[in-house]
Amino acid sequence: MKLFKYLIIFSLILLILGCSKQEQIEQEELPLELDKVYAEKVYWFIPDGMRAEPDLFNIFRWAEEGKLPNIKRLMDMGSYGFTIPTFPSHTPTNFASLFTGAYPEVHGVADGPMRVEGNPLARPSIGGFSSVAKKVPPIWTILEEQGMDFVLLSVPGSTPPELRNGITIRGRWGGWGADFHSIIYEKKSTEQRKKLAKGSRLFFLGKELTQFIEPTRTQWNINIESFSKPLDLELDIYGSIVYTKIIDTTNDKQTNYDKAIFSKDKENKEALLGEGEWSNWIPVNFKWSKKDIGSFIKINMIKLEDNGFFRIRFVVNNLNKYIVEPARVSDELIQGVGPMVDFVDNFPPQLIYYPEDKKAFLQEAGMSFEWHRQAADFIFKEYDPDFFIHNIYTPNQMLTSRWWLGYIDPSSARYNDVSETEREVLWNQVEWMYKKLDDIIGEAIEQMDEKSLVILSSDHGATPLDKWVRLNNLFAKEGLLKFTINKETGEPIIDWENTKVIYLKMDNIYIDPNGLEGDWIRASSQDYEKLRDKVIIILDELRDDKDNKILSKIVKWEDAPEFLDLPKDRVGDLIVANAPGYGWNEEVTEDLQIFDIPLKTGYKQAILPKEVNAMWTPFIIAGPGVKQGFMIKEPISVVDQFPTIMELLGKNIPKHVQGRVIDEILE
Amino acid sequence: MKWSIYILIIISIFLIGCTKDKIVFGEIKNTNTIISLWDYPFILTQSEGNIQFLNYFDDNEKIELIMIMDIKKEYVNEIISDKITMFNSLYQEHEVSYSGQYTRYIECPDKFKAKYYERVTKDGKLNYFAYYSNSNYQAGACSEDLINFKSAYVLLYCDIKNTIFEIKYYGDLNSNINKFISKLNC
Repeated sequence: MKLFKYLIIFSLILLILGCSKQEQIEQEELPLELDKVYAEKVYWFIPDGMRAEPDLFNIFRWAEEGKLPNIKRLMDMGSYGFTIPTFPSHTPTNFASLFTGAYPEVHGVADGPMRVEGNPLARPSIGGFSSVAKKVPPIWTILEEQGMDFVLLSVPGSTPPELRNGITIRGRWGGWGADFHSIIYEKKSTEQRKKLAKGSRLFFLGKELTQFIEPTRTQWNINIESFSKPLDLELDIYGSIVYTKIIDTTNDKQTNYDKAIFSKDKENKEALLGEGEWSNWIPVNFKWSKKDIGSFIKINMIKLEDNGFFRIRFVVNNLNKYIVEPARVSDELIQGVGPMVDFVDNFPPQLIYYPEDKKAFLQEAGMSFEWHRQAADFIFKEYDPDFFIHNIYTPNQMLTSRWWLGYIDPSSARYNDVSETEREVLWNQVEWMYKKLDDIIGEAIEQMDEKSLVILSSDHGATPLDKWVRLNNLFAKEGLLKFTINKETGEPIIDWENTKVIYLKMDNIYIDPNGLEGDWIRASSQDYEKLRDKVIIILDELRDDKDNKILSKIVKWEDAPEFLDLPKDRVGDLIVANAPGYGWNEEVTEDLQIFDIPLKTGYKQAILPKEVNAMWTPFIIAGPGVKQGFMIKEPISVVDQFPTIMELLGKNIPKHVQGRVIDEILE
Repeated sequence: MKWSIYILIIISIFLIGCTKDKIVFGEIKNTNTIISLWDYPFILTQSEGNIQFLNYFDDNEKIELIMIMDIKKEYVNEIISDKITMFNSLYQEHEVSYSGQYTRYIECPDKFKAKYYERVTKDGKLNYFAYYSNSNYQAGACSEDLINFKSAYVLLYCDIKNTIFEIKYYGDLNSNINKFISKLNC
C-alpha cells in the first residue's frame, strides 16, 4: 500500500513537471492560426545607404509622382513607412540589427572595427562585416534550420558563409575568400600623390586602389604608329600584366597623345581606347594564395591628356569561385549574367579627384545596377529560393561621394556652391539612382505570387559632410596624445606608452592615465575618472570657426547599453556622436589642425539617427497578411523588421529579439 | 490494484520521456535515413547528385558531414587544396573595414588561430584544423567573447571509396578533439 502511495506521489510530481514543460513549449512555439495565410517565399531587397525621410528624400512622394513606378506598385500592394537605424548608423551594425531583430547590445556588432580587452588597441580584434562577429543567430541560420532555402547576394555580415545548404554570393569585407577590387593607374605625379595621401589605399593602407606608374621602355612585337614617342606601361592587376602603350595618332607635328593600346602579350591588341572609352571584358588570371583564378577586367580610359598624363581604371569582375559558396554558382552567374560589377568605386572613394571621375562613376554605377537587376532575375529563375536577401552598395557610394549630396541637401555648407541649373542636373542623377533601385524591385514584383513577401528596406541614410574633425590632433594639442614623425615616410607614429587618450574609429575614445601601450585592459581608478571627465569637458567645449558645437552626445562605456543600445565590452571608454555636417577622423598631422574640408560630401557613421532624419531609411512590405496601401504613421525601429517578417512567415520569434511586430500593418 | 500501478508506471515513463532535457544542438527535421559512421548514427538531411549532407548531434557534440562521392582521382587534390585555402583565409591578416590612420589590419591572435594537421593513411588522406567556433558554429572566432565550441574541420579522403568526407565537429570547450579525430577512418 505504501508503495502504491509513493507511486501516486511520484507520478503526480512527474505529471506537474510534464505539464509545466508542455506549457513552456506552447509559449515558445505558438501554433499557426489555421485561417491565416502565411508567406512562403521572401525577397528582401536592402540597398545600402538608401536615404528616405519625410522631407528631402521622400521616396513615397516620388513614387506617387510617377518617378518610381515599381515602388508605387509595392506601396499599393502593401504597407510602408520610415525606419530609424541604430547607432552607429553605418552598415555592419544596422545589417546585424536587421538580421537579428536586436540592437548591438545583444548581437555584438558595435562597429566596423571593434576592440576587446586583452588585445592591443593598434589592432582591432573583431571585424564588424564578418559573420563571425554576431553573438546571436541571423535570420538565415534560424530559417535554414527550419527548411527554408536561402540565397544571399552581396550581403554584409554573410561571410564567412553561415548557410549550410544555401547560396552565399560575395558578402562584403567579411575577411574570407579571394576578394579583388578595381584599381586605378595614374601617371606618377608628386602633387597628386600628396593629395591622395593614404586615402589611395583600400581602407587606407591595404592594397593600393590608385597606383602611380612611371612609363618604361618596353619592346612590343608589333608595329604601332605613333606621331609622338609612345609611352609604355606595365600595369599589374593581381599578378597579371597588361602592357599598355600610349600613343599619338594625329600627324600634326604636335605632342598630343590621344589613344592607348592594351595587350596581354605585346602582340595581340585587347583594346584601343581614347579618353572616356571602355573596353569589352578581357579575360585575365589573378593570383591569390598560390592559386590562379580566371577572371575578367574591363578597362576605362578615364583621362588622357595631350601631354601623356593618364588615369586608367581596371574594373574587376568581383566573382570567382573563392568568394562564392557553393563555388559552382560563380561560373553559373558569370555565364548567365556576366562578370560582376558589385558596386561602384570603393572605400575610401577613389573616383573623387578629377571631373572625369564623375562620368566614370556614373557609368560604373550603371553597370552595377544592371548586373544586380539581371542577377536578381537569374536567381529567381535558376535557383528559386524560399528566401532571397539582396544588397547593393552603390546608393551609399553615390550619396557619400564628392559629387552629389553636398550640393543638393540645403543643410550642407556647400549647397550654394552650384547654380540651380547645376543642382537640377545633380538631382536628376540621384533620382536616376533611385529609379535603378526601382527597376530591381520591378524584377521581384514580377516573380511574386500570392504567398510571396517583397520587402524594401535599407541600413542607413546619409547626411552632408562639411568638415572632418581630427580628434587626435585635439588630444595631441592637450598633451594627451604623443606621436613622432617617421622621417622616411612622413607618417605620424603614435607613442602608445605616453598616450593617455586616443580616438579610434568610428566612435570610440580610449583612456588610460598610465598610457595605452600593450594589450588594452580597461582602466579603473580615480585618476581614470578624472581624466575621463576632463576629456568630456574638452569635447563638450569643442567649437569650429563658426562657433558651432561639434559634439552631439557622449556616453561612458558603462552606460552604453542604456543610452546607445551598445555592448559594454566592445566600445571605448567614451562613445562619441558628432553633430550633422561633421565627421570624426583618426588622422594626426604635424600642423595639429583640428578641422579639415573633405573632398567627399556625405557621411553617416557617428550621427545619431534618432535626431537626424537624413539617416532614416524606407520600409515597404507587401504580401499575404499585410494591409494594402497602408502608411505606417510613426517611423519604426530597424529591429522591428525581423520580428514582423517572422510573424508573416508564421515562425516563432527568437528570445533574443528586441524589436516588436509592427502589428498595425497586419490584416 | 496491480493494474492501476502498471498504468501509473506507464504514465510515469511516458512523462519522463516528455520532460527529458531538451536537445542542446537543435531539432531533428528528417528522420528518414540513418547512416552509421565512426560510431555516430548520422541523419541524412539532403542528397544532391553525388553529394550527401548528414548531421549528428547529442547533448555534447554536433557533427555536420558532407560526403562528396564518386570523385575522379585527378580532382581530389584540387578540391582538398581549395577547401584548405578557403578555411585558411579566415585566419589571414586582412584590412579592416572603415579603417583609418590607426585602424588598419585585423589578424587573429595566435592563441585563437586554427591549427592545421595532416596525415596520410594507407587507405586515404586526413587533413584537419582544430579551432574555436562561435555560438553560431562559425570558424574564425578570435576573441574570448566569441568562443563557444572547440571544433575541428576535417577533410578525409578515402581512396577505396572515391569519397571526400568534409566534417565539421563541435564539442564543448572541454572536449577532446583528438579523441574524435582518432575515430575517423575509411
